Amino acid sequence: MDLNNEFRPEPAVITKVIIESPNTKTFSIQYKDKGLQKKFFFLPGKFVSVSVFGYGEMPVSISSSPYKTDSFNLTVMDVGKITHAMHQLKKGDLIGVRGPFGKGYPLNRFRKKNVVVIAGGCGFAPVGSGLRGLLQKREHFGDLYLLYGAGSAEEFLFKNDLKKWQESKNITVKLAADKKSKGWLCHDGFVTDLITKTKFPAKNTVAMICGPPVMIDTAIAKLNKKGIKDENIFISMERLMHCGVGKCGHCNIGKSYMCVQGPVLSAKELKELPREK
Amino acid sequence: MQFILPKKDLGKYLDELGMKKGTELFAPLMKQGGATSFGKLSEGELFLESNTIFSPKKFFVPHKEELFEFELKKNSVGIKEMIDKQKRIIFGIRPCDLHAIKYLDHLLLEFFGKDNFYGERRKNSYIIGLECTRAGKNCFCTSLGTNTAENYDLLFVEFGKNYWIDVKGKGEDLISKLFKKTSSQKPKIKLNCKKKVNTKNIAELTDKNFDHKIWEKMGEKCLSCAQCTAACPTCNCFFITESVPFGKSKSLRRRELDYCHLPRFTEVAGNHVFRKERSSRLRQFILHKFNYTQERQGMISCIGCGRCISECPVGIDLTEILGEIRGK
Repeated sequence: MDLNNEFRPEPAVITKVIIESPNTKTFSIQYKDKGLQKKFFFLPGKFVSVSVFGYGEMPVSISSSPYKTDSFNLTVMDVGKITHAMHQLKKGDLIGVRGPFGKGYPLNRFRKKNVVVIAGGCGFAPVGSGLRGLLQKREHFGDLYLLYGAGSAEEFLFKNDLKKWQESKNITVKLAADKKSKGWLCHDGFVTDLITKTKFPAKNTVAMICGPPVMIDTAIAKLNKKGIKDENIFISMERLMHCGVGKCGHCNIGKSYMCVQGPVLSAKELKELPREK
Repeated sequence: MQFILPKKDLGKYLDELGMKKGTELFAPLMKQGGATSFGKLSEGELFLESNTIFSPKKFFVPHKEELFEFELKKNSVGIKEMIDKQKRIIFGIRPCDLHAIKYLDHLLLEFFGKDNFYGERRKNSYIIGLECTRAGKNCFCTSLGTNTAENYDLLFVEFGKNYWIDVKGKGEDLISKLFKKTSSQKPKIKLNCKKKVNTKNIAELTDKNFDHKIWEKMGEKCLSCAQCTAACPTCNCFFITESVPFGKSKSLRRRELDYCHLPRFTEVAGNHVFRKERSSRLRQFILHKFNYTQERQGMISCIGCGRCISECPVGIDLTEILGEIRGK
């Protein structure tokens, strides 16, 4: 048995399951091999290939803080065969993990800058990881903003943290939901509306985006309009990153393979890629 | 080392190879119904007139291969690597297909580091090349320099009533008493391909013409049937599947070839397909060969065998598309 085989998943244990919304759960994961868990390091935006034994393998981005080292979180929406199988798993069950793969958000380059985090739907998982990292090293960054939207308030992820962040002076939180929602102070409409509605400085500001494809284009255009340049906008361009190592051929946009050169790109890099329909 | 084998002794030599213990022999065959592909000699008639419809890629990147067997126990997972250790001799691989294997070697052994499953298959295979004496109607290997054989263990070249044979490295294991040593040079063969591709600055040219109208025009015609990608000897994109075989308790993880012409190739959760249009999928197939692999590996990954042209049910011809983009 070759332990260096890149397709070999490493066994890991589910240590906790948190129900986030009617169709989303967060799983805390710990490698069985303690040495591997110790060495596990990632930047927000990177992803792992998760094996649900008997069902297959899927890419999932990491949603916990990059500074949390004893375990890591995977936030999974029940949308397909493998995610559905994962939703049936309980504390103590085993999964397989390969990775982390890809390029993440360059948090170090955000130092001393204001950061606007823009998330749509389950795109909150990877940028949420970045946000946790920023908050944990709060003193290194300027003003922080979170603009987050989902189909309805019921679908918001990390509800407890959201409440906490809304009350915190460390960060300005603005929420949006497509459907009218009770119990949350939020804008009726799209998250991209919040970009225009929220006051934040354009100078010395970077943006971190993850969301559905339609949201990304609008968000970049609105940020540009506010005076934020393409090189300061970072987007997670998630594709079907099936193998994670650039081999399977599913995730390319033109010459770039998102599992290797991405998924996080600057808007400048993104605009150099061809537009495929 | 170079040898001569009279053509009439080829059958005897193949019988000899077929008798080798623990090794399977494959050769190009005409099978029932007229399809030509590589198989065991008992499955059809030896077919040496031209290249086969199905390329020999199935021996190295099979349509379906097993990667792992998982056994989920109470507190652990048993993981078994399913390495294919079968020894094979493959006779009659044409120069273009040898170049396809050279590309796969670079991709799966060097560029990404060693792929265990491919590497083991490659190590356990003897490759016997066979030079072409004339070009097929859709061949354009001379445009790509893939008409000269490389990357073989043994090479057969037709030469009057004989085969001239070149032996390299582990090919020595296959030298027969039927062979006679020779000091003669490799016979020169000039191929006359009717189809041509001008590859000068092809990456820059196709970059600039990413939205050329020919893509839309051909996309209208294309059926997205993926026959071209299935026939292509360098197409090796794959997806990974897993299931528990009926009546078993262990689950099997497989790697299966996947084809960029199919809409599901770029489909993600939420039914979002990133390459919805047939034209953009056709462009992906052709630019991957002529542009993207140049950027990544410094080589064109089309080998000019013309199988995609022969297999296309609506007559899409990549030499015409690239010619039109260049403006002839």
